[in-house]
Amino acid sequence: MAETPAAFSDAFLLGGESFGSRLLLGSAGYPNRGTMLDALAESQTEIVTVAVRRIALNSDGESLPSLLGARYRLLPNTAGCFTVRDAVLTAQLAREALGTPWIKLELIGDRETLYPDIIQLVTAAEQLVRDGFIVLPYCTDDPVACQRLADVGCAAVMPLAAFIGSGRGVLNPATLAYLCSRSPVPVIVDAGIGTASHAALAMELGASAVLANTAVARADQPVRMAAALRDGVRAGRAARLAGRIPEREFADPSSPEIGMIGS
Amino acid sequence: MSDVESGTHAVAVTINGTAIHLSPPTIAATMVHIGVPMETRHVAVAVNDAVISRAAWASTTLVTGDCIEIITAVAGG
Repeated sequence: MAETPAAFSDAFLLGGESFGSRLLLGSAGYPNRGTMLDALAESQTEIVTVAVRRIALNSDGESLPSLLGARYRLLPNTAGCFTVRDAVLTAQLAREALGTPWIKLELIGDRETLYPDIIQLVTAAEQLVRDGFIVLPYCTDDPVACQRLADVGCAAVMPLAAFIGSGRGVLNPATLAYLCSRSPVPVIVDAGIGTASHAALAMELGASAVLANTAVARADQPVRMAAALRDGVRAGRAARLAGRIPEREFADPSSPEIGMIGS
Repeated sequence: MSDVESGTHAVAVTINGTAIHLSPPTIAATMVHIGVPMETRHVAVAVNDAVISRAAWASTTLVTGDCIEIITAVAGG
């Protein structure tokens, strides 16, 4: 993890740790490992998600955790889990395998949309928090559901911008902005990011961070897209902190109206 | 001493979804079966939906009907 100098005024605080990057990336779907490593490096991310699966027979090559674990905080997920039991067991296996209490909790309610099952999600989150996990739940932008997740001790909420892998960006900016304004925990926009402007918008709306995978991994040039998302997140965050002008219904001239020729 | 007493008997279990007859009934034997050295890092084992810590691998005896999952971390979003 990058050290955070005392002078760094916009550190991203998550799960009791301080991060310099507000872009989290997934490790799936890249054309090859080399491209994945280059993209992760270019993005300057500090947190990389991984999945938990049965070990392949006689698998060759260096394992992914060995490859990534020294440079990045690994964030295992419970992708593919449809029940509380499966999600909790997967999280426990991930902790045992990787030695981290961090978990991206995914509990899916619909196979077509991969939409979260909020009711089961809150139940699983509560169990895992009690078991000492640092829980980052993949959820919806429902402010009430997010409050429930925060109430049971989640370290953040991770509302989807659009369906996983859809690349459609922030489909519900008004609700996301409202959620960001009242969430007691960091809001990490996760899923549906397609390009840099989506990431920038999420940050401008008040998100604390963005998590993307497909947007980078399946871009024509993943390394360039990683850089673009890095810059998009930074630009959106900077704009947010700068305090944008309000939207106006009518024009407000920027040039002076005094001393105009012919006046 | 019988095979059961000596711990060398075979048991009918599933490992990562595949039914096999395993002998001896140990975690070590399951690792040999799937071709993963015992000292491999970033691996976790569950038996019947309960995680078995690495420290307990040597002392765990499997029985017929046990369902063993051996996992690791892979690429994911």
